[in-house]
Amino acid sequence: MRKLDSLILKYKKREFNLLTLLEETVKIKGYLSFKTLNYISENLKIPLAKLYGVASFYSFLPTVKTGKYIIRVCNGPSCYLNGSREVLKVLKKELKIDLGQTTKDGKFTLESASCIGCCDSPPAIMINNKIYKNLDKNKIRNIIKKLK
Amino acid sequence: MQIKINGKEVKAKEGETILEVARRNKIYIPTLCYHPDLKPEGRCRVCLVEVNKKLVTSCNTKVENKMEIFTNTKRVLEARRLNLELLLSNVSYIRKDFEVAKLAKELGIRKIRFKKYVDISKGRAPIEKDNHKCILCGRCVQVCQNIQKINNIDFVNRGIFTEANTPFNIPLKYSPCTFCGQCALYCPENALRERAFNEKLVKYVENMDLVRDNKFFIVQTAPSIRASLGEIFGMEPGTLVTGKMVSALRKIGFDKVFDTDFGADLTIIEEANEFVERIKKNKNLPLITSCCPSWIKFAEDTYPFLLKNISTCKSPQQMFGAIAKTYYAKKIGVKPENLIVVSVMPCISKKFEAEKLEMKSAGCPDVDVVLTTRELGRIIEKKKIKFAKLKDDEFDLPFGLSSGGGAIFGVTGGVTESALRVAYELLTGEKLKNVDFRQVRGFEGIRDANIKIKNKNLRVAIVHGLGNIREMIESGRWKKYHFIEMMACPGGCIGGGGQPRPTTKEIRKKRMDALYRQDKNKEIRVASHNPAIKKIYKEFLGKPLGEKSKKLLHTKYKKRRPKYF
Repeated sequence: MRKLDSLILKYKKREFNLLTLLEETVKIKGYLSFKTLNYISENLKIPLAKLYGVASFYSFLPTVKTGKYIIRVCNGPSCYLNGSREVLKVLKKELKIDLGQTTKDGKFTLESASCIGCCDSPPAIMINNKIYKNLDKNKIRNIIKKLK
Repeated sequence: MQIKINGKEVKAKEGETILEVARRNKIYIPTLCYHPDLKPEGRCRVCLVEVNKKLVTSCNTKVENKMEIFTNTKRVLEARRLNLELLLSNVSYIRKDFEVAKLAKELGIRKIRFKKYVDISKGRAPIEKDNHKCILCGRCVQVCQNIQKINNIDFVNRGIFTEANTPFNIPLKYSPCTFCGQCALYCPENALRERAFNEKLVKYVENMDLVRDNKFFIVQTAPSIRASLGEIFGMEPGTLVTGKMVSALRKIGFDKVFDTDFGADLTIIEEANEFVERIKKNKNLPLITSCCPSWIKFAEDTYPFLLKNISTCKSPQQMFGAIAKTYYAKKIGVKPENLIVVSVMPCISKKFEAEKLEMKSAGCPDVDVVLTTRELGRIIEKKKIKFAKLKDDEFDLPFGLSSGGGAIFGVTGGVTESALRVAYELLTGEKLKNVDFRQVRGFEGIRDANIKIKNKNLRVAIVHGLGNIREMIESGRWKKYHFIEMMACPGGCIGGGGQPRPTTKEIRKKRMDALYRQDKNKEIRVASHNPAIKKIYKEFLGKPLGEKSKKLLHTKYKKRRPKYF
């Protein structure tokens, strides 16, 4: 909470962009829980409904608990045609979870994403903020093994 | 033809379906869309059976020679259950007593697993939302954010999953919603609407001539609905339909038709006395009115420091209910449980108020059923009563008699005006010559006026619309006044959440004029001159703010934090 307080203090002083505030909150808290959003809403006098409306619109602002690594599998046309389904299948098998779920140890969350801008080297995935391109089965297995 | 069902040899005729053969041999297969009168189509896929390791619908698959059929393998049972669960994702809850509920029980489904939508109206809030009707026009969101400024709903999620909803799907009952119902009033699709209050009793009301059960039905009609009920039947906004409304209610089957204006007169006498007392003691000023249940909930939720300023008087509806269940029930010799008090209100929040636990002066709820103007209109339409052609009728005595002060309760500024009429006479001891206080009339969100009574300068303020109320309180201006009238809906009750759609600013103004017209035509215009009120104080209540009236006509407020916060 102390980190959140200093963040709120910082944003209290000036006009600001709601998205950056929420993004920074996600960095501190990991996800936007009811408690967190209510705390922000009470301190910055922003309606809770508005905060939740914005948070639920963007998939990069999770409102439920996520794992340490969020794996986003690109579902754009270029990746789709070059085997993003296969990538997803391997990931599901490796992590033993389905799309939108988190592993039991709280390490990985699997999500799909619309185009992440790597159409030149498909299929691509994004783990937290890092992008992995030109994937095949072995490459994926290696990446997951390293992170585990 | 010989076939095998679950390993048992069974005879069958050519052209029969699997279901028919099974039923004849008393082997049970559940069905949903199948109906013996209709052609089987195999839509619901609940009647699945396994043939040759394939799942087929038994209702429209014909038997073949030496067919081997299994009706209760694990695969079949799981598939049936999943299919029904998927079908149920379309509904928000499983209604009891219906075919589907029975089937769900048989297949072991206790709750709906696949929720397309989460029902924010669960927890029996007075407002319910039907997501299947919502077209996402966003009017409710706008009203809640810009006019009422409660900010309880917004658009959530994205794309095809977008819906107007509360944050984190909090049920309305546990959210800061005040049930003012403006969202429902603006809804073009009837997706947001009032919840039927007490289904069993509402059914009674609809079929009163058929079912009676020793019950004695009385109805009270709010001051503002006589100016708006006609609109449902195509009349001009602002037509007063008092007489027609009374005869329609009689036709529905009510034993007695009374007027909430009487309750309003009672409220104003208690409130004016309280006001005068507080002025004399100079304590807990300003006095803030308490007739609006949405405003009360708003204060209890958000501004608990104001609770000591709010008048302890119940609202007219509850005062009427309390008097009916004690005084009137005794007078006519009916047990309070058998006296059913139905009230017709322009308001959704009144449903919430009538359900409050403390509103039980005779051991049972003071008001049993609350109908909104729209609901009454629907009942009249259902009964095929030709409203426009009805003859005018009069309210029953004793609670049909009311003053002009009660009549204008339904508009913003009306409570102030009638309180001033009574307070003037209480403070000066003289009779008021000119009863019109034109300074307090109008349509601005926040109005104030200085009223001179016997060398004393009274500062009064009138606020309507929850957004304006919020502004008034948060700016701190409320401390300057002696008397503040708060109404949650723009325009007061004439623009209430249960009023006919559409309601615009012009229509509100027309309804307002109608009520002032009614006040002008009344013989008695000050509440304390009402002979029925005088009589009830003489016979039953004693004096205003006396022991009995404190017990029956006053209530307490408590800080109420929404459960989720």
